[in-house]
Parts: sequence; C-alpha cells; structure tokens
Amino acid sequence: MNWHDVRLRLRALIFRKQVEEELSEELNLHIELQTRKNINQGLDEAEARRRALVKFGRPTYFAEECRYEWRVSMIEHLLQDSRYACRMFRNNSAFTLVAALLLALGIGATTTVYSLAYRVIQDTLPVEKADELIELGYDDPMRGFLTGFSHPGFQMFLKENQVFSEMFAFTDTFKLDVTRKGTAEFAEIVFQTTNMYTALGLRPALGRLINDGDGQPAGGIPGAVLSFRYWQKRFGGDPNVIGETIAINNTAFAVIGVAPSAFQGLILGASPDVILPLPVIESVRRVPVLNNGASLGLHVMGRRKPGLTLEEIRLALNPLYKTFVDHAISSFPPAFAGGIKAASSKWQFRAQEARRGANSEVRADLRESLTILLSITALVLLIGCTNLAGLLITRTESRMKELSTRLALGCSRERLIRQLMTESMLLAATGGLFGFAISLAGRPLLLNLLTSRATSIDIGPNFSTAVIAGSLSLVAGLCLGVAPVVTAVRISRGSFAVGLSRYRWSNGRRALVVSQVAASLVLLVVAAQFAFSLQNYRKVFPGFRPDHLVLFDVSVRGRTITYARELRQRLANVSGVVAVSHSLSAVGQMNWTTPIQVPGFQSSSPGGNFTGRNIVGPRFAETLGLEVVLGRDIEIGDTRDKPSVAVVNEAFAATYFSGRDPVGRAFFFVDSMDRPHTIVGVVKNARDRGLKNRVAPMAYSSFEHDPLGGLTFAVRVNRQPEDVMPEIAAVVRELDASVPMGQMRSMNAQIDESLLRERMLASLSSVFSGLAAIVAAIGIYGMLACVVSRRSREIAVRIAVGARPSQVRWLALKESVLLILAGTAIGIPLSFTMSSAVQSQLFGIESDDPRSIVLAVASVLILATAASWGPATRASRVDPVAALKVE
Amino acid sequence: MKTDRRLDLLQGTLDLLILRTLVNGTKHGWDIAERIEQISQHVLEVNQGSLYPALHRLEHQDWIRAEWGVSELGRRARFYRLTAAGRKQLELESENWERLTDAISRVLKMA
Repeated sequence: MNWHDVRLRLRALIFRKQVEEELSEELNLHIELQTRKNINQGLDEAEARRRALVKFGRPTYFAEECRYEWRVSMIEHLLQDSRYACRMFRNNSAFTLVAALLLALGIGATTTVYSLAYRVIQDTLPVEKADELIELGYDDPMRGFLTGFSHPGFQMFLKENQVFSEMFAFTDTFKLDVTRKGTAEFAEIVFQTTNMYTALGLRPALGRLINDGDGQPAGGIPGAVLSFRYWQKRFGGDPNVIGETIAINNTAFAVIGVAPSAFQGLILGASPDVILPLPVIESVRRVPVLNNGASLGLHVMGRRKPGLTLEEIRLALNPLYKTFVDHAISSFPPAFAGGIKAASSKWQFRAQEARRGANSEVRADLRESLTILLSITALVLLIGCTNLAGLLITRTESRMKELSTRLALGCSRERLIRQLMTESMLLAATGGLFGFAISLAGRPLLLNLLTSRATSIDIGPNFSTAVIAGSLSLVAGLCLGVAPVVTAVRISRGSFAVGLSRYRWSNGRRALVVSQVAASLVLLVVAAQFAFSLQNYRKVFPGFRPDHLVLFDVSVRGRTITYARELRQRLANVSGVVAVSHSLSAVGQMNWTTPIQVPGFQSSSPGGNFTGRNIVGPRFAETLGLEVVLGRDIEIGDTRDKPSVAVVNEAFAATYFSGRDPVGRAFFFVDSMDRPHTIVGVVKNARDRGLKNRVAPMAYSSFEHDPLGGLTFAVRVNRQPEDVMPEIAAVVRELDASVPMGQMRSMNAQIDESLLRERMLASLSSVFSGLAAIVAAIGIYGMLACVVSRRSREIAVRIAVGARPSQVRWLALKESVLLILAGTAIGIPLSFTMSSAVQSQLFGIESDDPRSIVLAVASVLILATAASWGPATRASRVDPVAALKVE
Repeated sequence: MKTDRRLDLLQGTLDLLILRTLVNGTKHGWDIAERIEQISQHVLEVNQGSLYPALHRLEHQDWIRAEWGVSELGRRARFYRLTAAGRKQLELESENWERLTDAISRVLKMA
C-alpha cells in the first residue's frame, strides 16, 4: 500500500458519487467507441452495439470488479448489507423481536453469570505483584484446607523462613460494636499485622495506613483504618474524619486513614469495615492471642522470593510447621491436647497461590453455584441459538425466490453469503447489546440471590462484562449465520424450482430440533431436582416451632445479667408477646463445639468428648417450642447463687448416658472444671446448626451462670412477627440506646436465608428450564408449521383422494414425534451426567431420581405435542381445492 | 475457428501487456484494448471489460496514473500514463516473462 493508493481509496470512499459517475463514463465510452468501430465496418447500429457489448462482457460485473480494486467495497458492502438487513428486519419486525429477545436473554444470562464468576473466582487482588502471594495452611481430610495459625507460630515463620521476602498475618472479621458520637453499631473488624499494608504495597485513599509504628506500645490512642466503603457509609466520606475518636468494643481508637477503594480485604466475602493493628487485639477482644499458642485464628501469607515453586516452599517450611503444631498441642489445656494431637496427625502442610486472595468459603460456595448456573445459562443460550438457526433457515428458504433472483442477476455467491452473515451478525449484535444491559442490571441481583455476604463483594461494571457479551454475540452471530448460508449455498447449487418442491426437513434441522429437546430435557431434570431438594430441606423438622418467632441480637457490656432480666420483663409486657428468652447464638446458626468430661463415661475416641453448646436464658425451650421429654426447662429460679444447670438434647443423653435418664447427673465443661453442670432436663433434638447439618449432642447451659455479652433474643408472638417487630425494637432502644442491636428477623426468614442458595438454584433453574422448554416448543411449532405449509399440495392430493383428517394429522405429527422421542432418548442419559455434576448441591436426591426424570420427560412430551398439535390440525383442515389452485 | 486459436491470458500477463502498450505514450482504455488486439493479431483477445479492473488495480499500485483528456469522439476520456515505478515494474516483469518463456520453450524442445 502506497500513499497514492490511500489517496485513491479515500477519494473513492468520500467522493463516491463522482467516482461512480467517472467509472460508468469510462465504461460507456469504451462501448461507444467499439460500436462506432463496428458501424464503420458496415454493421447497422443495433447489431454494432450488440457486438460491442458481447465483446465487452457484462458492464455491471466489470464495474463491480473495478470497485473491488478500489478496495472500498468491503466497507461499502458492509454498509449496504447492513442497510438491507435493517430493511429486512423492519419488514419482519415480529421475527426480529423474538430473535433479538432470545439472544438477549441467552447472552444476558450467560454474561451475568460468567462475569460474576470471573469477578468472584478469577480476579486477582488489586495489590502489588499479586502473583507472588502465597498462603499457608494445612489440609484436613475431613474439613479441607485450614488456614489457622497461632501468633507465636507466625512469628517463628517470620523469623526463620528463607523463602518469603515479606510475611504478614490477619484474623477473620469479627462483628463488634463501633461507637461514634454516642451511637453504637455493629461493624466487621479485622486485626492484621502492622506490616501488611506495606507488604501489599497499598496506598491510602486518605490519611495513612497502619504501619510498623502502630505496633509500638508507645501510649496514646491506637490508630484504626476505615475501609473505603465504611468511610462512605458511616462517615459520609467526610475528609475531616482523620483524628476522630471512635470506640470499638469500648476501646478508644483514632481514625488514621482510609483504605484504597479497590482493596476489600484478602478474604472474598469477608471484607472488613475497620482495620486494626494486631497488637491491640487482646485489649479489644479480651482474649489471649499474642502469646497463646492455642489460639489458631491467624491467616498467614507471604511474598515468595523469585523462582521458588510451591513445592520448594512447602518443603522449606515443613519443619517450621511441625514446630508450630507441637507448640500448639503443648499450649492447649490437657483436656484438649489429645484431640488436637489426633486431628493434627492427619494434617498435611500446604502452601498455595493467593493471587486471588486468601482461602474463602464464600468463594468456594459461589464457585459451585456459579458453575452450575453457567452450564444452565450456556444451555439456554445454546437452545436459543439453535432455535434461531432453525427460524433463520426457514426464513432463508422462504426467501429463496429473492435469493435466486439476486443470483441470476449477477450477485456473486460470496456477496450473498456476506449479506446473510451480516444479517445474523447484526441480529446477534442487537441481542448482545440488550444482553449486556441485562447483565449490568442482573449481576448485583444475582449476587444477592447467591450469597448473604453479597454486600461485602464489590462488583462495579467492569471491562470483562463487555468483552464477554461481545464475544458471545460474535460467536452466536457466526453460528447463526452458518445455517442460512448453508441453505443459500444449496439454493445457489440447485435450481430454485427444485428448491420449492423440496418439502422434507433437512437433516440439519432435524438435528436442531433433537438437540433442543435434549437440552431442555436436561435443564428440566436438573430444575426438578433442585426443586425437590429444596422441598426436602423444607420437610426437615427443625426440632422447634419456627413460625411466630422474632430474633434479634444485642451486644451488652458489664451488667449483662441485669440488662437481660430487665429486657425480658419489658418485652413480656409488649402486647402480642407470648414468651421471651435468649441464647448466645440463634438456634440454627450455632457453631460452638466444646470439650466436656462426663463422670463415668469413657471416651472411645482419642480426641475426648465434645458437645455443641449454647448458653440460654430461662424458659428457652418453651419459647422456641423445643419439646421437653424429661425433667424441666431452664427456669427463672436458676440464678447465679444456685448450682449451675444445663438442659441437654436426646443425642447427648444417648451418647453420654446410653439413653438412660440423665436428669440429676452432672458433667463438666472443660473450661470450667471447678463447677459441675447438673442436667435438669432433656429436650428433643433440634437443628441447632441449621437444616443442612446433622443433629449432634447439645448442651444448653443457663445464662446467669455464664453471662456472655452477646445475646440473641427469641420472642414468641401470637401475631405476624413483622407486626410486632417495630414495638420490640422501640422497647430495646428505650432500655438502653447505647447497646447496639443487630438485624431483627423472624425465624422463618432466618431459615429462608440459610436456604438462600438452594432457593436460588431451584428458582433460577426452574425459570431457565421453563424458558428453554418454551423456546424449544416454539421451535418445534415453527418448523412443523413450515413443513405443513410446504407439504400443503401433497396433503391436498391425499385429502382429495380420500385421506381422513386423523390420518393427515398423524402424517404431520409423525414428523415431530420421532424427533421429540429421539431428543428425549438422548436427553435422559445426558441428564444423569449433569445431575451427578450437581450432586453436591442436592439434598436427599439421587442423580437418577425417577420423579425428576418422569416429570421432565412428561413436561417435554406435553409441551412438544402441544406445539405440534396446531400445525398438524391445520394440515388436516387443508382445503384441497384451494391448496391445489395455489400452485 | 478463430476462437480455437485464442489464448487464455495467464494470470498477471494482462498487467504486463497494459504496461507495455503504455510505453509509447498515454492511451485510454479502448485504445489499449485495440492496441493489444492488433499487435497480437487477434490471438490475445479478452473480454474487453476485464481490462478495466486491471487498469484500476495498476492505478492503485501507482504504476500508471489516469488523467482526463479528450477522446476521438470529442468526449471526455481517462488517459492512462506510465509512471516511473510502472516503467521499473515493466522491466522487471518483462524480464521475468522472458525467463519464463525461455525456460518453457527449452523444456518443450529438450524433453
């Protein structure tokens, strides 16, 4: 390409009209001169002109060739084709709308899920050289990858390792109260080693971040860093916040800075609101951590030195890990040590890449749900595309006359293909654009459906969404284009007379129908399984009466017992309240397991004896509706001056007393060996740890003997829980406004939330599979309708010679029934594969659950038959005279 | 009978012929076609139309340039003229062509 060439091209592009005129002038002159020559040779004018034209060839063809040489034809054709396509779309607005909608839904859904999955699973941390980050942990055969280290252990790693250039540690987030200007609210607090921000290479959004200076006990108020989001939410983004004093769990802190907005902590789904230096953890949480080898609450990460593999790091650190474990075992109280020793003997030290952040349960959870959803939406997109391809083929065939005419008039086949391709691409682009819009709106929605930790995951609009939507549209457009192009090529091969009389379905279109039926069957089976699985969860008896229960959390300091007594009394006076009690953690959300000693019971497991534990207020069983089978509930009379008492569940009694009556017997919690707990009652087993967890031994000890500041109140009401909530909240505030109150909810809402993922998978998969089945039915309908109208002549002849309507109907139905059966036959084994892939998400459902398959097959057959019925009936009503007259 | 002795033009030879006819001064399209026909004694007869895509291609390669002039009929015509680059290209292609025909005729004689 030279400069002259560029100039000519531009001229051809910009002064198009003039250049065109010049070309036709040039060609005309040639023919004119040749005609003149022929006349001079003695021919009459008409003959002279004819011969000149014969000698020249088709002027339009050569003009097109010249245009090609101008190299502007590509753009020109594209514009022409697009204009033409737009005209076609305008004339077929119903078709276009359906097609674009199909694509928009498919692309939108897939993009939503994929970009979310990308954000959640793939995105690297917004820190310096994220790929150098390594997290340490150990694999437990039962519980997976564990990442808890003690602070002494971390310090030993820090001092003695040769493989990391930097090393830092941080805790999980803790829900603690943060008081600002007299008002307390719960917030997520994380403690991290003072070198962490420096090691990650992060810059503050405001003020400064925690650095090594914050570790010194130099006196003065320690510093706290706010997360960007918390700064926006609670402090209104006030730039004068630096230096302000806040209290966290009653300890004063000075705000020293705001973390960068892109960085939301190292654990996905657990982003902190306030970041504190690790050295203050003991004064805030009032538990020994810093010198406690048994406090395994630190996540440890490091920056690897260049060139080291994970295995080299693991081998280099393994001796240090062994020392850490030994130290941890020796730090535990003797009663625990055996259990820890047994457990840790199965642990396998491991170093893993952490460029995407530390190990996160939310991520693991989301990954599974998103993978399932991604396959579902991809199938929906596939069905949409195949359906659309079928529609396009039909339309191309009905355009045969137009296409053959264009070919006959000298349109090249390439040009025809390009035209059809342009139409598909344009369609796909439109669908993609709408799909992109859907995905922007859908991502936060979907994330909320998927996890209750949604608010702590940032998903701003990002580049990847656009890229995904774009490439999906491109692929869809190309795939869609193939079908009409193949049809068009066939047309251009055969004559169009043959094309018109050909009435049988092409094999390609049969395959499309079969694959649609199969894919929607797979989706329906999976959807049915999710629905049944959710139903199974709903059928689980929680062990208590979940309706008419209001729950809320408070965090009290100091005079806990008096506060609890006072609040219980005041709440009992609220109209509609039947019973009031409280517990350390809400039933259904409990996750505390503690070692015990039961006199007279010899443990068979080396780890010692354990029980779940909750600390409950008086009349707890009564309030929750836990049935007391032996003895009594905890009562108001079980005060601090009386002996410690506990109520246990049937599993506890069965495990530790072999089912004999345990009432009156005593046992010890290992953390208070000085004081036996006497069992006063036995209650039925409840799902204390949520519906998804098994029933295990459980002890409910009385609150006044172990008063802890965190309380979850349970209020049984005789009205709609939502109606009583405002009054309850008012009473709580009235008693003491400085006590922070957590989210108030009904027990049913809490159970619903615990089944969030199951509900989401069930509802989304039902919606998508229903959609897919309907789309497939539309496809079957469209094709059969087309076949019937194409065969109307043959049908007319059959009717004319005496075929009965039922015979004709069967003739048409036969076309689709075979394909539907084939699709079902392929779909059933495929559904086994798909459902064994989602098995981990199912509850009480086998992958070959017959109910789901029967339900899905029945739906497919009914829908498909219904879709075929209309066209088949129409066939039986063909008027032979009218039909034969048409052709 | 005449058609039997016509030769199909090898790919690219039309370019060579056009360039050659323009050595002796500017010509318009019909003139070039006539000239090729005359000199080749009607052996090389192509669809005259195919001349024009070739002309436009050569123009884009800047081997020839077009200017508007007045034709025999007194009408405006595009006259093509060889550029310096075109002249060089002609030399190169003629040389290639001679080498090729030489080789082919040697093979035909010897084999």
